[in-house]
This record gives sequence, C-alpha cells and structure tokens, in this order.
Amino acid sequence: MDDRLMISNPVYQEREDSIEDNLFAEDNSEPPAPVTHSYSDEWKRLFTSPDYIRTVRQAALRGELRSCRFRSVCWRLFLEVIPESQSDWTYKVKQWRSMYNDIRDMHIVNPRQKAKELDLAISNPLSQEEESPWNQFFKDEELRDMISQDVRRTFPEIEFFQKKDLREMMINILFCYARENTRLGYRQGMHELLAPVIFVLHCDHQAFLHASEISTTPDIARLVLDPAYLENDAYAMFCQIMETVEPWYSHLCVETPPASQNHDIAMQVPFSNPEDSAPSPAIVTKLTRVQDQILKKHDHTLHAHLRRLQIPPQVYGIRWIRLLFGREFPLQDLLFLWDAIFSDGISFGLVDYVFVAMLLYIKNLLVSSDYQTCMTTLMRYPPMGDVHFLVNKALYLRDPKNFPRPVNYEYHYGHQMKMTSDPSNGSHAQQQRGQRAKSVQNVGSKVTAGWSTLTRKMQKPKGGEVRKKKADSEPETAVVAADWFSSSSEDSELFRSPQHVTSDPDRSRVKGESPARHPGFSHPLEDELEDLKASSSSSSRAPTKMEPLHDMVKSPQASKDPLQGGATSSRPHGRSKVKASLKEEADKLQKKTAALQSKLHDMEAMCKYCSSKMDAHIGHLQDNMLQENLKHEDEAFLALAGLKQVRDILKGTLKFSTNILESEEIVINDNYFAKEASHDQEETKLDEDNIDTSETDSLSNYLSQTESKDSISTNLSETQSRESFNAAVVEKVEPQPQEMFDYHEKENKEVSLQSSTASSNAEETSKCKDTQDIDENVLKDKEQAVDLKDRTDDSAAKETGGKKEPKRSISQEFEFVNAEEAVTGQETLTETEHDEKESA
Amino acid sequence: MRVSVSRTDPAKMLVLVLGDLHIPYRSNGMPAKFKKLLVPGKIQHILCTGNLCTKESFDYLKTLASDVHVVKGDFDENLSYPEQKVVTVGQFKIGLCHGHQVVPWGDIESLAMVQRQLDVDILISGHTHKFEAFEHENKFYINPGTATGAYNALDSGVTPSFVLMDIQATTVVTYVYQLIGDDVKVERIEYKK
Repeated sequence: MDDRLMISNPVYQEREDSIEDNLFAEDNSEPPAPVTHSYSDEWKRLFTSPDYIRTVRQAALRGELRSCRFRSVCWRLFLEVIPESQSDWTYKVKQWRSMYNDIRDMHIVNPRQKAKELDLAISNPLSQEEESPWNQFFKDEELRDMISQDVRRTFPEIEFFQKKDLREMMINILFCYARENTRLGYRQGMHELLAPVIFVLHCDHQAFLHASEISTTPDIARLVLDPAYLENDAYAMFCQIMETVEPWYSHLCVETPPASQNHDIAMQVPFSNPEDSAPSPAIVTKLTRVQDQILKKHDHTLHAHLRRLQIPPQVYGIRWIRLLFGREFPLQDLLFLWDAIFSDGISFGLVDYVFVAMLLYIKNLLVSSDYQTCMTTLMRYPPMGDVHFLVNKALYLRDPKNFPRPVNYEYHYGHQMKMTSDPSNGSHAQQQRGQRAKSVQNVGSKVTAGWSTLTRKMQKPKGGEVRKKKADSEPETAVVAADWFSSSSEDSELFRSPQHVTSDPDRSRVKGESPARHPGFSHPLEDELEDLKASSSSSSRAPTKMEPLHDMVKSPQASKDPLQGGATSSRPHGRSKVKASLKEEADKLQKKTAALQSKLHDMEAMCKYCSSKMDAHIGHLQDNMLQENLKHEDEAFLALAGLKQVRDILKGTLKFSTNILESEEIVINDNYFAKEASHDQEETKLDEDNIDTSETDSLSNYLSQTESKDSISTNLSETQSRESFNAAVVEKVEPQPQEMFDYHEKENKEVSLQSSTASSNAEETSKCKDTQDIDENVLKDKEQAVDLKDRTDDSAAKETGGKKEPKRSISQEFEFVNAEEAVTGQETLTETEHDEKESA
Repeated sequence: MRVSVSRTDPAKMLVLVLGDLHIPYRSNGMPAKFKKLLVPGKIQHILCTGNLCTKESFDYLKTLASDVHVVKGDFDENLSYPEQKVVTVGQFKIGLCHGHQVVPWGDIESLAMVQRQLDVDILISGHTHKFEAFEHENKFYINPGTATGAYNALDSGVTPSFVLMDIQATTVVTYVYQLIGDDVKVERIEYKK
C-alpha cells in the first residue's frame, strides 16, 4: 500500500498543483483524473479495506489528503458525522440532512406568512410580545447582520468566498447553529471554522461532478457527495467541530470540558499563580495549561522567556486555538493541518501540541527578541514553509515513544526542511528538500557544531543569539537555496555545486589537509570524489528521484553512469575483473578530473565575486574615510591598501603561490576560508607545471606586506591567512564587527551557492579560460579524458542557459544581507522575507 | 412649491408614518403606550407629515430611525422643511405632504391631484388628525392621523394613531396603531401595486 502511494506521489502532486491553481482562480473545472487513479479506484483504495479508517487516518497524517478527492468524506469520518460502518452511511447522511432542513425551516421564518394566522395584536411588527414572530424576526435580523459582517470578511483573498450565494449559505449555517445553540450563540471566529469546511466540500463536489461525467462513480459516493446538500453537510460537519471547539468560545467560567483529553492535568494546579487562580473562561484555562505544562516541559527557556516578558498565552493563543490556526497558515496548509487534527480524534487533542510546536518553531526568534518583537511575531505568525513539520513535531511532543523525532527541528527558524522522516509525504518539493536535507545533514553535522563554537566566540551580549542561530543554520541555507534553483530551473548542474560545496568544508576541515596534495591514483581524495560523484550523479539524473547520498557513496558502480554519457546506464556488473578494474580506474580518473575542474571553476567564480564585492566595499570605506579626519589616518589607509591587494589577488591580477600557505596556520577552524585556502592550494598544485617561479617571489613579497599591515591595523596575531586578515580589518573599521563577520561568512556561503552559476561568468574572463586550457593540457597529457571536454562544454552551455535567474537571486540575497546589516531591528522582517522567498 | 426627492435603501422595509404631534402646544407628548411600541432598531425609515412643531420632537424621531423625512406643516418652527417630498422605498414611490395646502382638507379628489402632480404610488398626507387609508384609482392614500391625539381645528375628540408600512416587493402591508381607550388596536391593510 505504502509503496504504491509513494510511487504515485508525483502524479498526485501534479494534480494537486493544478487543482490549487484552478480553485484559487475560481475555475472549478477539474483537471482530467490520472488514468492510474480513476475516481472509483481512489474511493476503493480509501474506503473499502476492512480496516479502512486506520488507513485514512494515516493518510491524513502523511498529508495524502492534500490531493485526495474525498477529503470531505474523510473529515466526516474523523468528525463522526458518518459512522465507521459504511452500511450506516446512507442512513446517517440522510438523517443529518433532514435534520438540517428541519432546523432551517424552524429558524429561518418569514413573519409575514405566519402573521396571518395569528392575532394582529400579537403579530405586528412593533409587538413586544415574546411569542410574536416579528419579535423573533428582529432578533434574527440582528444576528444575521452580525454574522454577515464577519462572513463578508472571510478569506478575502480567495474569490470562492466572495460569491453572494455562498455567503448567504454561510450565514444560514451559522445562523442556524447560533439559534440551535442559544447558550453560546454566534461568536466571532466561527465563520472561519466553517469556511474551510465548505471549501473542502465544494472541491469534492466538483471532483465528483467531473468524475461522474467521464466514468461511473460509486453509488455511495453519489449520495455522500451530492452537491445539492452542500449546505446540509457543511452544517453537520460544522456542528461536530463546534462540539469540541464550543468551550473555547464560551465566555462562561466552565470547567474544562470532558472532551479535553488532558482533563486530569487541568484540574491539578497545586501551585498556581495568583492571577491564574481567579475563575477564568475555559479557553484561558486551556491556554494556561498548554503554556505552563506542555511548553514548560518541552522548552523551559522559551517558557521562562514568555513568562518574563509577561506575555500570557491568551493574548495570541485565543485566536490560534479558536480558529484552529486558520489565520496562521495559507488555506492549503491549513487544510492539511486540519486533516491531522481531525484524524487524531474528535477531541482535537493535537491542537495543544501543534500550538506548542508552533511556539517552538519560532523559538529562536522569540527568545532573542524583546516584548515588542515577540508580540509582533506572535500576533503575525511568520509564514511557514512546511506544515508537515508542525504535525510531526506535535505528534512527537505528545508521544515521543511512538512517533519519530522530526529531523532538524532545532533549525526550524527561517528554514523549512522538516518531514524528512517520512518520504511519502504529499508534497513533491518537500520530499526533494527533505532528501537533500538528509544527505547534507550527514556531511554537515560536524560543521554545524564547529560553527556554533565559532559564533559563540564572536558573540556579543546583545542580539548574539540571533547571530548564532543564523550561523547555525548556514548549512541549511545552502540546501534551501539549492531548492530555489531546483524550482526555478531544472538544470541539473545547478544542483551539483551547492551540494559538493557543502560537503567540502567538512572534508578539508576534518582531515586537516588539502586533498589536492595527492594527485596520484590512490589517495584519500577518493572519498571526496565519491561524494562528488554521488552528488553529481544524483542530480544529473532525474532530479525528482533523489537517492540518499550515502547509498551512492557505497556503490560507486551506480554513480558511474552519468559520466559515461548515459548510454551505459544498464551495464551489467558481472564483467571480467580485469576489464572492470581498468575501466574503473579510468572512470575514476575522469571523474576526478571532472570534479576538480568543476571545483576550480567554482573557486574561481567565488574569488571573482569576492573581489568585486570587496572592491565595492573598499570603495565605500575609502570614501567614508576620506570624509572623516581620523587620528591614524595613514595606518588606516595602509590597511586599505592591504585590502586592495587582497582584492587583487582574488581578482587574479596578482598571482598567488603555495609558499605562503605552507607556513599558514588556520586558527578559526570553522571559517569557510580554510577550505578555500586549501582549494587554492589544490589549484596551484594543478597548475604547478605552468606557474612561473618568479611569481612565487612576488607573492612572498606580498605576504610580508600583508603581515606588516596586519600588525598595524589589528591586534589579532593569528590573522595570517588573507581571509582572516580581511575579516580582522573589517572588524576594526566596522561598528558592528561581529555582524560584519557573519555577513562575510554569509557572503562567502552564498558565493559557494552560486558558484556553479557564477562559473559561467568566470568563463568570460580570460584567466579562467587560461586555467581551463591548462587543465585540458593536463588531461591530455594523461590521455584519459576524451569525452570530458564535451561534457564540460555541455555543462557550461547549460550553465549559461540557467544563468539569468540565479544571478538575480544573488543580488536579492545581497540586498537582504545589506539590509540586515544596516537595520538590526528589522531582523524579523528580513527573516520573513527570507522565508517568503524560500516558500516561493 | 418645493419638492425634494430621495431614494432609500430597498433592503430595509419597515417604514413608520406619523405626524401632527403638536408638542407642546396641543399635546404634552406621545401616549406612553405608543412610546413603548416605538423602539429603536426595528424601523428603518420615518415619514413624517409635519407639524412636529419643535426640534425636540424631530430629535425624538431621530432616535427611532436614522432616516427621517419631514414635510412642513402649518405650525412647524423649522421653515426649512420642504412642502412636499417624494421618497422611493423599494419599488414604491411615496409622496409626502402635510395637507393643509390641499383644500378641501382631506378631500379625495384634491389629494388625487397632488398624487398626479407628484406621480407617486402612495400619497401620505395629514392635517385632519383622523386616520384614513384607502385605495383610489389604484393609488394608495394614507393619513396617519395624529400620534399624540392633539385636537384639530374642528374637532377635539381625536384618537391617537400612527401607521407602520411593511414594504415588500410589490406589496405594502399597512399596520394601523390606534389608541382606543387604554388599548392599542392594530389593523392591517394590504395594498398591491
């Protein structure tokens, strides 16, 4: 069952996308159902197995209902509108419908018709008599006015809800409910519970109508999904929802309803606060319990923080809970969230945990900000890319033993890479993202640890945690950014470089040596190469189907194919050993050279980018310095000159040699540049034959120069590498050195992200061409890379093809970074932007 | 002659018609039983035939409904009220005139002339302090009488009365409220266009 679902997922996804588009454009024509998933098949799959209710519940938790054409039926099952035994469906459905008809007839009356039967003295418009139909009529009118005011504001962004007859229907349902439940009546927010229900019903009805046009539909479906009874069915579902939600709306100081699962916990509050002890509405009790019990249990820091800021949960939580998070997520995500909440049981016990999961998701932001920001964030919950994470997290929070801990959940803020535990989750993109996240996580786990220590070192007392968080999430940024590319362009080349770049720092750092120092055939570089192979192969194949990286590493056989040009993809493994080993070696070499070359390109592009960026910043710095009369102006300008030299080296106008690096000791282990330095080594190794020895001299000259500048401009003795020197200078000049550093780090990270694209840029430069030629010479010398050139050319062509889009995102990215640097207070906003970009 | 025309929201259909209050000169106020019936929130429009006399009476009407239309009677302090007024409610054109200008007072033929002048479906007039509601040549004529029971020039035994119109698509249901003795008596008259 599961396998089948998994396989069919892409199909599902396509369909869902188009449905979404259609619905939001208020075009209700359904896309043709996929052949493999005929309407009745889907029905059978969901509802005919003996233990079908469990199947459906699981499907709901996995997000498979996102594309299901029977979501409303599933909801009705969950909400116990229809019983589990299907033989009773007909009866129950009819019962609900006739019940609503009765209710409607009873409550929606025209006093003018009744008036004729009654005494005029009683039934006249101005009558004060209780039994006068007019009296009731005026009360009803008032109520309807109130409801319609809210209904008019339901999902203003979705055109479906703007239709007049639909509004009328919503008013009727809400009105009938209010009249039926006079104790509660109508409360604001109910309409937002009703709207998604109607939406889901409507979608299913449309799907049903479409399906019944092209094929036969199950009889029971015809009854259950009869579009004529949209209002009736919506009322039934709404009533069942309200059954549970009602106490949350009640202003009365009632006890926690027995419906709540954690009734016993709510009752025992032995050392409660004085402000809690006063009798409070059920919703407040509930929220206080959620915050003081569940949140405290799972995250003491956040709880204490909210406590300290005196933000009671009811300030933001009432809306969250009463609307079942309706305002916090876009409709499609909300529907999935409701799938999960409903499927969990009629008591909606999951709500509390989703609540906590939501708080934990923005924990980093909350903990590091003040009252104002906290409130803003809570009142306007930042957009969240992956709701599956919330559900998984909520399940995990409630029952850690039976549910897997969501991967990466501590990185949650600002980046969406959750739900990696379940490969069969609904969204195709998420799946990809999740897989990729997993693979990168293997490699990047150590990196993260290092990063955090680094940033801790650099931390400032205020706002430090935000910084740290950002640094922590650096590897994620890489992956997420890769996702952007994947969505914007299917170019497989674009996939590759972010991945292998992410893996690089780890390798070089952990090993503490440059891989390029071993140019022989058997060398420790093997691992890395295999990583590269794996990443390139998995990406250059169908990007939709991502095998986990480590699998690929274990079986280099599998990773050969793409570089063989695809023709040998089905090559049998059982060949003669000699031949195989020879071929393998050749392959290895080819791959190695290809990988190295691509790396080279990346590095070059990065250098170029860095230099251009530095150029700009130096110019800026210089302008400012010229305007101000500094005390030690000379020294500052000397430092600037040093910076310029660094820039020139990056640019390539000044040659750089290995000799400098031999004595070099990289102090900040986690610095990205350490990696870069090693790559430079590698680069130089490769080019060794062609490098003029005289250049080495000039470079050592340069080194001494930089060192002298170093001692002048900074007190840091360990900034011998040009990069850390660079950072140190910045540290001195900039008012916010730590931020600046982060910024730099980020910059470089981004550069590495973009490198593959930027390499197409680099190709335009003559220098790059030179190196390419050199490389090619090397390869020709070894006489082993016949088809390699074609391959690189191909990839180059591809790169230039996909160049435009990513380039734009570079500049966007930098706007973002700059903005962040300038206005620290606006971090929330920029982060949100970031999020939005990701989700986009 | 001044005729003002106004159009009202067709969705709200209860229209109160009253006039000739003569407060404080001929009466000290509306009967308590009437005041009890007239509560805010039910009535959407008020058509007043004039002779409110003081601003206080007008303000009282304003508390019952926001949309108040008044024509000038022969005792009104406020001279800015129009002599005649045409209000459209739903599909009905309603003419409003105090009636002291129409001689003989309350005469059907004279009122029919005004009706033709204004080209209305329903003509509302007052001044006689005597409730009347009838159909004439397929047009509807309403005289709400006096809401306070103020005497008129010729008669002192006057029954306080007012009218409430429930206007639906093509039907007007007129409820007549009269204070007879201590009881409010309600009558119902239907007019179809």
